[in-house]
Amino acid sequence: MATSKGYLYPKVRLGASPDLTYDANDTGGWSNTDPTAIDDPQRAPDHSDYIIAPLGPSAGYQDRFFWVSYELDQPTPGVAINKVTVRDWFGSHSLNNVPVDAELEAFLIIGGTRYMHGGPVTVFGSQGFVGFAPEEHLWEWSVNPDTSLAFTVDDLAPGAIQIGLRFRALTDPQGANNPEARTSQLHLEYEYVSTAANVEQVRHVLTSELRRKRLPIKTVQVECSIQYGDVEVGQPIWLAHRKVPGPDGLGSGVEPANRAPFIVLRKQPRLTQRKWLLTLLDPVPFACTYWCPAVTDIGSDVDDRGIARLDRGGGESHARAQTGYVKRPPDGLWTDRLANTPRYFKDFGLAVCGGGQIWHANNTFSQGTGNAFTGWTVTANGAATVVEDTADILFDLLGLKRSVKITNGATPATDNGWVSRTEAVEANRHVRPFMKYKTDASGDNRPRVRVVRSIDSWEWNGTAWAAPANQWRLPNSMGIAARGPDSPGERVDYWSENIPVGAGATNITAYFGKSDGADVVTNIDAAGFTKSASGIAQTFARDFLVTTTTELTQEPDRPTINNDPGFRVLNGLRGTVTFEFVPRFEDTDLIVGTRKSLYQGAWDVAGTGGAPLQFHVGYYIKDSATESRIVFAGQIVGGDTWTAQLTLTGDQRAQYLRAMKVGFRWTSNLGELGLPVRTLTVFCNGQQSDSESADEMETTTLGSRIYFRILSVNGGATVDTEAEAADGWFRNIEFRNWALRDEQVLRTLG
Amino acid sequence: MPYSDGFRAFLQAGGQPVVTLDITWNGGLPVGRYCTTAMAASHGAYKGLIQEIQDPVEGIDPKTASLAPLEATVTVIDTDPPGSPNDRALEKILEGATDQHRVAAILRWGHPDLVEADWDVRLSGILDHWTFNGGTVDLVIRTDDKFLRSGANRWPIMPSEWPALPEVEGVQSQDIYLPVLFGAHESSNLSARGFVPAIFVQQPSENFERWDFVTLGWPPMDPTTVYRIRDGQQTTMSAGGDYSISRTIIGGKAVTLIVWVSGADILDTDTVQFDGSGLSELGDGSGIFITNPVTQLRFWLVNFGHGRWLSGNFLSEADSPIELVSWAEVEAYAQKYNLEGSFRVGGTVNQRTILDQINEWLETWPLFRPYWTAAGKLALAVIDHTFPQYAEEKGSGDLFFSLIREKDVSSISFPEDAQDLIKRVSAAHLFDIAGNKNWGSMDVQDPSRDEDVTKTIRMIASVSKFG
Repeated sequence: MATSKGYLYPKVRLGASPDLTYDANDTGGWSNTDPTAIDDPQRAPDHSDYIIAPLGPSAGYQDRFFWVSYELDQPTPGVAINKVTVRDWFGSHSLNNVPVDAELEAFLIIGGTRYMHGGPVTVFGSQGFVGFAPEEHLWEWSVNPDTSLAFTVDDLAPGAIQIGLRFRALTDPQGANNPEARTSQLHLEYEYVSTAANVEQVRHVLTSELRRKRLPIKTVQVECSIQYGDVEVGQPIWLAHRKVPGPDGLGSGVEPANRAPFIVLRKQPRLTQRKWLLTLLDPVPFACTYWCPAVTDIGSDVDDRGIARLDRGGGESHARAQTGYVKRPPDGLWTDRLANTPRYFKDFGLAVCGGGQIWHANNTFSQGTGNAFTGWTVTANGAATVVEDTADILFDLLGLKRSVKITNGATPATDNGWVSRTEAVEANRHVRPFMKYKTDASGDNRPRVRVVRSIDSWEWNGTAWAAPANQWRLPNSMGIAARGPDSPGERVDYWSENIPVGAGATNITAYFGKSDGADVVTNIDAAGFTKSASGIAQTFARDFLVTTTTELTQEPDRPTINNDPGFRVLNGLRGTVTFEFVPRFEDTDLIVGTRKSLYQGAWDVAGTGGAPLQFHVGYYIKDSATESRIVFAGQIVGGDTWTAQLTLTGDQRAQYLRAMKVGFRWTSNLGELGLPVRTLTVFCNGQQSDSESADEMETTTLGSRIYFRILSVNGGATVDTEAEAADGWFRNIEFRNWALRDEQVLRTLG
Repeated sequence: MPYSDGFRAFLQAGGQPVVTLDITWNGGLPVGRYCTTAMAASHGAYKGLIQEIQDPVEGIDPKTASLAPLEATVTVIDTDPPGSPNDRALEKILEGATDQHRVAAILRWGHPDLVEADWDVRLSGILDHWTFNGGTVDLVIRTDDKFLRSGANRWPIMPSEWPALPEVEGVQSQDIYLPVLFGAHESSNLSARGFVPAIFVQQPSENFERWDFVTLGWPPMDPTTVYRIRDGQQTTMSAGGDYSISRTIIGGKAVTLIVWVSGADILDTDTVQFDGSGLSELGDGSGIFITNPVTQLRFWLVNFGHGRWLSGNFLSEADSPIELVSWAEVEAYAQKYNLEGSFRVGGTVNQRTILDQINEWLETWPLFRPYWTAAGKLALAVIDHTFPQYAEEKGSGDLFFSLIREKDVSSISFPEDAQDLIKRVSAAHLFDIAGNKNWGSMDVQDPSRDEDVTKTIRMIASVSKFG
């Protein structure tokens, strides 16, 4: 089972020398033990602030020990912990050329006992001309020294454990100028195993219960002839009767695919009448081969408790080669998700992003101290202020808990402020400025955005680059006027249109937060702009990737459902796929010809990673400036391709954050419940395509898979390209291995 | 139970069966044979005395698991014929010198043209009780479910078998029912002090070492960790250094014990808890311990619930009231979804019934449904969420029995139950027997539903370990 790592950062200083509780030599004193000086995120130690212990005076230095201990954050619940590691960045520094070496060791305090690690290291002092040169040290415990057992979550809870460092000078500090031991980072890392195996068992049981009881239970009570008692409880039986309720009012028939299936719940013989009274369960409301609402308003955790999910036993996987971030339920704050785990967003569902966009460093304003924000220029004019705010946060992650607070003065023309950032961008790339913020202003007083390129000093006016004109633009979302957020007091997102930087490499400077309103207060939690990763790709940047010290390129999400024989959730014979898709893009963003893959069902896949020989694809494609389509195609490689499609025009086309209710259905050579035989049909937002003729795909015994992302029917084989990823969210996902009637599809989609 | 081939052929040929009731009277009396129409002596000499039948209902409820017996009331005319010397013959049997309660009774569809082996059993059970109505008698026939009302655990700790029970203030071992353990119980990374309490059964003395009871039967693996609890603090004890595990037979029963070595740091006031796994399917302690929750319940029912296994080979399922085919199907379902179970029966001074135990298990696994079959067997069903598909593969012969045609329907209705709809299911799992608490919780939700109703489940019998 894969392991993950969690980090617990110092929260409260609980003890420090001089304190002889543990050792009579613990006499060294400190000048600063503030935990906020050492709680930098694991990947981003900030050596500009630190805790400090003066190493002088000279007398008795060999026996003068310094120690400090801290209480930590709360660990992730419900995980099995393999080991813990205390990590520090520590240096001994003096201001002149007399270095002072030190001996350093980490410890744990558990149950009032201090457990030294047992492996002290020598830290060589740095001289004044070198400057503070801390080094990283790791101290590992595989078992709890108090119990000699593996650590538990409770062992790491606040109040149960403290971590700390103990050190002394090894060389005489005599002659050293202001010798200090400085620690710039300290935390506890714990390696853990998710309880996912248990969680998935429980999830199945609970989801099965939910699935059956979330909708009214439909039954049939039928008194019938004696032969129909030859069926067991829990087994299927079929009914051909004009009174079977259905949208066409015709009931069910005796034709093979017109027989309505039911499940026997109870059977009561009418012994003297030679009949049976059968109570049958209608499976249609609850039966499925896969179901996942993908949304919840229950607080979630690393195991996505709260998310219901049901399949046929094969499970699913989610590949993503980096930590991801989600807007979590129920509070809408952002938090992180481990690599290779699904990303479920509050309200929106399962995120599927093609990745590839580049996020510049410190897009969360987390780096820097006080009112400085690394990489950002702060401008505060007149009586305006631009300061850090550690109380108003969007990212519930240690090290990211602050925002930029811009406060205008009474005369906004002169009392205003903003933050800005400049990044180099290669020729022909696209950028897309964004801002996550909260403001008390509305209308024209909302905080504005300005984008300037250095190559000609022109500014972006919303549709083109133009001569310098101080283009402070209101946050009209996606470049569409009046669509930008205007919700005073709420946390909102602004995303600009996709901006081509031009044919030459240039610096792009983006400014955020200037308001024309008096005394307007705006908190910006994140801002900046994404860059496309290549010259032609566009930036679908409605996702968010936290950056701190370095630029990051976003990795794609790759959800895959096991569709192997034995677990098959779909096959080529007949079926229905329905879901809601929430796009992260506007149709206007897309270059003509761009496809956004919504679903691929593949079977007959020879070997891991092999190209499927039979598959379905469903995708959104932009055909022209005014027309797009939702296409559903089936193909037997080396054989035929069949296509059904629904043309979307005007407002029917994809809009940012507007859910599209999409269904794909295919029927076998039997037809189903009166449906035309061997057809493909597309449904979207209450419309449906013609049912186009297709051939029947055989159910094969080879492996297969279901994707929500890739597609390419060109050339007959799928091509796994990120550019065609859906770039959106999926929710209310349902698969059925039978063909719903038209009305049932529409009802399922709501 | 499905029709026999002969009965199916009989029906397909248009045969019209009659109802027969056979009661195997006690006291050497001939089998009582009653029917809706009389049959000749060559066909069993059935008396045509059945006047009316309240028919048995076999099956499950889609919303809840409730195990009710299959029951039918047969009204028999108790004059044969009126005024004859045999008048009130049935009454004379029922009120006679021999108690006829719980005698075997079988209700069938039969016909003189069918060999009796092909008659269709509609209820195989016992004569539970009766009511005299004056001229008629209501005979209540029901499945023989009395074992469900029996104790789920049968063997209390008695001084006769455990002569050195502890005499320590606050420690009571006598009268605790010996527990039997199934599945994995592993407290690592949770309480880390052992999920299962051991029972102090032998106080150390000059002649005896201390023993703590683990389980009835011989699990294939020793407990993984044994903890000593002293003043609320746990200490991991050393296998080999502090204790050994003994699989032995005491009082005729195969038991597993923690046997403490002389000199081990264990006080009479200490309690002992452990982590470990339960029984395998082999009585000799070999094999792999059972993880499938359905197998665990079946195995417990066969050997400890209905059966009275003591030692040696485990009991034959054929002797149990388990309907094996249905259980096998549900076990396959559980296997497919990697479901694992853990539970312990016994370990308290209170004796629970087998039905209580089944119901507790069902709370953990609400997707399973037990029911009684007409053959008097205990079956298990799963309400599977997968669609039964269309019937095109059925042959014409099968369709005669599985495709209900309109011409064969005398009444039909389509009721809908919109009560008790839920939006969320909330469960507590990772049960710690020793701590009597659940360490894990899980919720799933469909936010699209209107009713903000949560169903809560306490999963006592789900697997009690990480990963």
